[in-house]
Formats: sequence, structure tokens, C-alpha cells
Amino acid sequence: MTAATQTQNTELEAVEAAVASVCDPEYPDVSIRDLGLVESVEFAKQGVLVGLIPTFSGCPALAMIAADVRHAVEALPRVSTCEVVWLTSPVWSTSRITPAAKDQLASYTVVLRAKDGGLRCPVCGSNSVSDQSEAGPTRCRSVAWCESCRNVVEVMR
Amino acid sequence: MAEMTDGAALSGKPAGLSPAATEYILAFADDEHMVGARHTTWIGLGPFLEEDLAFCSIAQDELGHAIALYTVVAESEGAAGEAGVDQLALLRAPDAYRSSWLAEWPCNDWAQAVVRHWLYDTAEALRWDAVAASTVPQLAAIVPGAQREEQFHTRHAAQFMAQVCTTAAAQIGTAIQELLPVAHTVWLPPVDEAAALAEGVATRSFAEMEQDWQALVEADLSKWGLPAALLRGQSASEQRQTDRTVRSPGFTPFHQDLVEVFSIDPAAVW
Repeated sequence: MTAATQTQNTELEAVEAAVASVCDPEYPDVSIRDLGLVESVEFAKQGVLVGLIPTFSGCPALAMIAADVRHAVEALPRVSTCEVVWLTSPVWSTSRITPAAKDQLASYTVVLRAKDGGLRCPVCGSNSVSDQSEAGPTRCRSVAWCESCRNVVEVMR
Repeated sequence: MAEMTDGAALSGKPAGLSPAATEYILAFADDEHMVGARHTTWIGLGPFLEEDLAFCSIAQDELGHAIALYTVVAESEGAAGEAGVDQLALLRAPDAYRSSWLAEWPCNDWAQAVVRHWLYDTAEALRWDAVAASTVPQLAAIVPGAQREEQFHTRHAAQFMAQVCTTAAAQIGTAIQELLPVAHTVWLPPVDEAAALAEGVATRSFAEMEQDWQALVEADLSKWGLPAALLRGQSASEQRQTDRTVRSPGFTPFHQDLVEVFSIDPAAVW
């Protein structure tokens, strides 16, 4: 590996870290990278190009997330400009969420569906969780109900 | 990889669309925009919290779909980004819109709003399927994301209708009768549909999809214990939409409401 390639790799890592430092406005300590929103980070002619994918196309947080990414990357000393592109492909799904983010979401009483479709209450651990409504408080969540501890559980969908 | 917004500078301008393709996509975009905007009128007014939230969420999806569709048209005209979308979404004269009366209808009665949600989303799902293999690549590119979201809408509509049809069958029946004059307008074809189909913008005609839709909604009604014939009656209403260039009564003040804040300062950054 040449010295030039090494510098380039270090710079790319710095940009990737800056992108990963951006959190979802809905979950202020969960990185957008861990939620699976970051698809590509590259140096283009004009500067840094970041490709993100939206959880839902109508999510009102998209503009805020894009602005946060731009600011974070442009704050790096060697970056002049950063452009954020919302990609239509691939399509986001909950399978893009990392196990670490899954645990963080549980602290917000937000859970992911198990592969068999089952739900586990993040409050009491019971498996007696039933779906209540397809549409929850944000685009990406539906509402369920724990029959055991009687808490509302939100499900990332 | 196709892009929704903010990417024209680096990706280059997509090829122009034919007039028929533009009409086809605008008919879809305008329907999504109008139904999304109408759904939002229930925010804070929904009869209970879950449905208030549901209509808010579904409205955001429909507006998201509208933005994605308007973006395809705007970028083909060299007007990328938010300004291009705003121009199409907000700043056209009423007679330049191509929405159906089903999407435009106020539905100020909750039962009507729920029935419209069910009728519209059953149609919308068929329309996304019909453009999944579109020869307009930017259009085909937004389909998988939209389909993923649309399945939640159709499931929500079915789940909620199944519940209210057991407890409020008479009200739902009345709402269906009231919406009958506009229910089928969602199947008024886009202007110059034949040319759009000939170039492969979509793979199925509105007439074909309307037949499927009729079968689907009638099967739903039977499943929920309501007479399937409810949706077969002919409208006695004198005011009917005859094609997509005609706006519904009350559209102009509704449109003025939509653009009121925007018009105060069109160049403002929000």
C-alpha cells in the first residue's frame, strides 16, 4: 500500500466516522449508520458524496438528517463540500438495523419483529404482545400492546 | 442507483419524458398529493388517538410518494430539487392538475374518510404494480419503496374497516353511498393513456385495473358482511368528473389553502 493510498483510506475513514456521528432526530443517541440509512460514502469530483436511503419516503426527518450529515462532513478539515443524495435503491428494511441499535431502540420501548413474526416486550420480556394498529406515532413504527405488563410497545416496521 | 432528490448536480439530468408519460405520472402524483393533503385534515381531529396518528402517518407516506413522482417529472424538465417539486405540486393553475375527485373529495365525515382510504389505497396498490416494470427507469426505481409502504396502508384500511363494519355497518354503508359518485373517478385514465401504454410507461390500462379493483372491494364488502352491490349503483349526481382535467367543486379554495403559507414567501427556506 502506497503512502498516498493510506492517506486516502484514513480520510475516507474520517468521513465515514463523521457520517456515523449523525443520529436520528427521533432517537438522539442512535447513529443513522446503525439504523442502516448509510449506503455509500465516496470522494467525488466536487467533494464528498454520501448516499443515504430513507426508512420511509415521506419521513419528515429526511431534510434534517441530510443537513446534519452535510454539516458533520464539511466540518472536517480536508473536506470542501459534501453532497447528500437520497437513494431509491436499495429499499430500507429493519434487517439493516445493527444488533447494537436494536438494543438501544429497546430502551425507547421500540422493538423489532423476530423472524417468525413474534414480538417480545422490551419492558417485562413477555412474549404476549399483540398488534394493535398498523400505523404508529411515526412512519416507521406500528403499535402493539403487552398483555402481561400492559405497556404500549412500538414496533419498527 | 436512482435518486429521489438533491442529486441532479452529480448524476446528470435524466432524459426528457414524452408528453404522455408526463401526463401519466402527474395523474398519479396529483392523486397522491391531494389524498395526502385531505388525510392531514384529520390530524388533531381523528376520533381517537390511534386513528389520528394513522391518518397522519399515511398522509406523510402519500405526500412522500407525491414528492417522488413529482421529482421524476421535474427532473425530466431540468427543474431539480425542491423548487421543481414545489412548482408542480403547488403553483399550477387548478385546471392543470390531473387528480381524481376521489382524491380531492373533502370527506369531512369520518366514515367517508375511512371508506375513501380503503377505496383509494386498494386502487393505489394496483397502480404501483402497473408501473413496476415501467420503461421510464426513474419511475420504476421508486416502486419497490412505495410498494413496501403501500402494504401497510392496505392492511390498515382492511383491519380498520373490518372492525367498524361489525359495529357501524349502517354508517359505513351510508358513507359508501355518499362516495359512490366519486369512487370510480380514480380510474379515469390519464390524458393520452394509450400513448403512455404504447411506450411502456405502465403495463396495464386503467380499465383493466378498475375491473380488478371492483372485484377486490366487492370481496372485501362480502367478507365484512356488507352487500357487494353497494358499489355497483350508478350515481344520480349531476356533478360528475368526466376526465382528469376537470376539478371538483371546492377545489379552488382547497388549493388556495394549500399554497397560502408558501405564497407568503416562495423563496423562503424552511
